[in-house]
Amino acid sequence: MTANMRFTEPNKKVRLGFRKIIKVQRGQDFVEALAWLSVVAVVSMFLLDGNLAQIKLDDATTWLNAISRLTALVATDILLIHMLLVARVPWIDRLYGHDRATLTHKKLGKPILYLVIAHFLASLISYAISAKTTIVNEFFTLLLHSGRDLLWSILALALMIVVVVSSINIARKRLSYEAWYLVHLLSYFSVALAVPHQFSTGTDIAGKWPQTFFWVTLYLFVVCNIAWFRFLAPIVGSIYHGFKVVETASESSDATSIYIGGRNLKRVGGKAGQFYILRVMTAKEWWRAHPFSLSAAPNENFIRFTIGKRGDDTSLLQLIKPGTRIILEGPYGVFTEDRRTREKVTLIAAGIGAPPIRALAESMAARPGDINIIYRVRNESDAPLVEELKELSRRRGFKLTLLEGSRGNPKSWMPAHPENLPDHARLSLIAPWVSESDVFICGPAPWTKTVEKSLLRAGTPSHQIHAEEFAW
Amino acid sequence: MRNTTKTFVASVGMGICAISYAIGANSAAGTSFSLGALNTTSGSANPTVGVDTGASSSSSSSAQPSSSGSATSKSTSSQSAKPSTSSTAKPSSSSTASAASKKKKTTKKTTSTGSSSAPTPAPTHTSSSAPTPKPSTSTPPPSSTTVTKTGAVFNDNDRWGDYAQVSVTKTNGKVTAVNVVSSYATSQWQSAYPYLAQLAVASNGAPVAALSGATYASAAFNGALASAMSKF
Repeated sequence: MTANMRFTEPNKKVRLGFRKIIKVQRGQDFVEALAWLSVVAVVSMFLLDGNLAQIKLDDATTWLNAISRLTALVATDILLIHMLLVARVPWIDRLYGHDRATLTHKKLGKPILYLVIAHFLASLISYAISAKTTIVNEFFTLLLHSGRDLLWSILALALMIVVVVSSINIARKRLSYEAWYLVHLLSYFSVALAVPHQFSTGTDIAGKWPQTFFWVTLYLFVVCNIAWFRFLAPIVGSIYHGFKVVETASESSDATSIYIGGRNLKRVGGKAGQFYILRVMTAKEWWRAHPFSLSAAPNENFIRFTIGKRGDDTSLLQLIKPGTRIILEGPYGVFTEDRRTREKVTLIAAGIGAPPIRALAESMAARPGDINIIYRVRNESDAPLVEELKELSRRRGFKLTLLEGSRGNPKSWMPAHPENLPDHARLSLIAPWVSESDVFICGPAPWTKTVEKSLLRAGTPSHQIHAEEFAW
Repeated sequence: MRNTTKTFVASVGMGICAISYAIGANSAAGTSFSLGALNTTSGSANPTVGVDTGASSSSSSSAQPSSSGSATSKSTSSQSAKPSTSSTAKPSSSSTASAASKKKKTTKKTTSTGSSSAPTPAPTHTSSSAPTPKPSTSTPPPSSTTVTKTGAVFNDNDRWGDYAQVSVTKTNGKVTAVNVVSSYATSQWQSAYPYLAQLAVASNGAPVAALSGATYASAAFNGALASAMSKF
């Protein structure tokens, strides 16, 4: 077994120190400032038109109009940012990582809907007042007599409500991923349907060149980013490289490694610790994409993922046949050596969280003794990649600690201890310099949380703790 | 974002907003169209109730908007040789000038209003836009050629029922006055028409940019303007 293990040469050097983190923070600041300033720009264009100065307190329609237009403008701006966040744009990913971008995307969903609803109600009420009818009447007038653009925009609002409702946590738990995904695709239609009325009925854009320029630029920027990074780049890249499964290997009773080959793998890029979104091109499976971390450092011979059996699709993937075409999107994520600031490193994995840890252990620049690997397994003889980790530690002089067995108490992330020593104390015993090291954690989300807690208790500063959640 | 940057961005953002509010408030009072605030800015061009409504026209005024486009324009075309043709919605020619022709016209007009679809929604505002004498074009008719044409009532059946009819006066081929003969828009949007008329003079009869907040009135006005311009 150890004979045919293929290891890639580790990185020769790495830049340490906090300065590169500051650089990342500056980048984040810049992007966030840009995002906020786009909102400011929208508001100030609205104000420059004198829209606020025109409000007369005794005339409800004037301020309802102002509310309606301002909420619409701000909502559109945030909506475009919201879409950009999941366009898998490299510069966003490099600064924030896929998980934080997706989380922010999730957080923005509801506020946008509220703004759009406010816009809808304000216009409806103001129209109803000026037409001197009831709101219900006015709604039907809008539906029936106001022309195509407004009808579409009402449909867009309905779709948007469906999308947001399907994405709130309660609904998300009851819906299958596929159902949610299909509903979520509607959001593209929703946005597209709402566009015409912004330019035709909307009085803040039509005929005003700075506004037209701003919005057209913003729309084009977002649309191009989504079209290229989300759709075209993965397809073009996968066709260029011709990704195919070349080999599969069973790693444990419930995990399989898939080796993917193709042309010019050197140019794929990617770093240990990153993940790809994998799309298996078979008749049934092509529309379902799955994120998997590299389980071996990037090299020019193969791309390897190690996939645990966790659900329907991952069970099917265990049986994938060599020769199957694959589309890879990625690489994504900031769970890499780029975020390392210290000489010492502690890698902590649990179960099927091992692949990225295995890849990091293989590729990180380190001297013997620099890296401490903690691998939490249920059963050593049936843990994925454990042999490879052992061999890696032997060759490179790392310390590997296997924590085997069932949990001592429900709040612990370690197996039972005869003297009931708390986790952070045991952690300090296993990895004495844990407070001065960068810690990379990969495992199930609740487990990761408890590990982070005991790390903080052991004295590791939070900016040295790296964990990536698969946020979907 | 770090706190220093947050504060910076917040203060810059608020600064920009404050400045743009100030500029916006100024410009709203000054140049740009604002609902309601308009009567002051456009007072001079605001068509006042017609002086022209003599005995003859008052008799016809029972038929509401006193001119209906097609009829008048026909009559003017028949008299096109005359330098200053007169139409009911017409300014310059001294009202005494062609009593006969006027009479002819009014009769024509009444017949035509009967047949043509007069604006149905019994416009409450038409009072302000009755046929008028023109403010600026009290230019001496003989020396320069002043032609006034009135277009058809333009009603694109939008959801608010906005419609308009305008008369355009050209002196030496240049638009010197645009009068709103009849128009309708809901309450405060009515005040957009005089302003639009000013803009149309400035644009020499070309369609004017839609006013923010008065999209439908602008559309109705532009339609009516195009109709009147096509008569030349």
